[in-house]
Amino acid sequence: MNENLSLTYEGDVLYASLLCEVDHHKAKPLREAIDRAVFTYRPRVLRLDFSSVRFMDSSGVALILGRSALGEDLGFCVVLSGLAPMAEKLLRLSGIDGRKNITVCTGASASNEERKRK
Amino acid sequence: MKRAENEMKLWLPAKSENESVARSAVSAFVAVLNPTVEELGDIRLAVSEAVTNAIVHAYGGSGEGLVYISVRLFSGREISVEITDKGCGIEDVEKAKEPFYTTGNGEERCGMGFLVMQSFMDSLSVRSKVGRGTAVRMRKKLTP
Repeated sequence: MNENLSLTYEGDVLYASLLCEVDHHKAKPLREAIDRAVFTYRPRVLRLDFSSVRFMDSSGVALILGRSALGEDLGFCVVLSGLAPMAEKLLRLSGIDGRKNITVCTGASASNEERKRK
Repeated sequence: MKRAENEMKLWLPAKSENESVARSAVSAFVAVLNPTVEELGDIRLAVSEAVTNAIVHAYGGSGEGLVYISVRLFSGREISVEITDKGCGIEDVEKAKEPFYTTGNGEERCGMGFLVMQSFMDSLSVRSKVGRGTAVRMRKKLTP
């Protein structure tokens, strides 16, 4: 149970909504909880929703890269949504958007999809 | 050397829960200059990276030791932030500054700390002595 994370599983997709600032201190319990759910549900898609994240540093990038590597081993892809402009800037710097099993949803398409889920 | 118009110094135990305390304190102090949201975000990010480096690498995540933070505001809306530790030091600073280089320390890290500091601030200098510690100084000039 992690109060900074909301997990739901629906139709082969594991939705993980991050509900806190993502720094080195918070990243470890978040990734442990996400990984536990991944091993439980074995999804085809892991969707990480950052729309409630007000701050993220490179520990957040490491969290995404780590889940991407896990996805390569277990056969799921990672979809990112709700990223703030600062987080998008950080991701561009990391070159993460070039990874083949990571999709970044930006702008209207991401918010429409989030609205449908809520 | 220019004289600072205002200055803040604080030290915090090298515990990971203090990462957010450090960036919040620095951004509260800098906020008197009315930086843009983006500028404040850049500073928070750079401070978070430097403090995390000190906690994870300088002190090995032990929770022991102190992280020293000094922020100076100069005329012309210039900011200097210095993060210092008395940890293990860095053997090869140039190597450590290479993008995506990390010693990891058994944690999931991506080696972007110095790259982020360099990219989001105007200048970065790193002084380190093995066994003595590291000082990271960053500067940023805010838009008028």
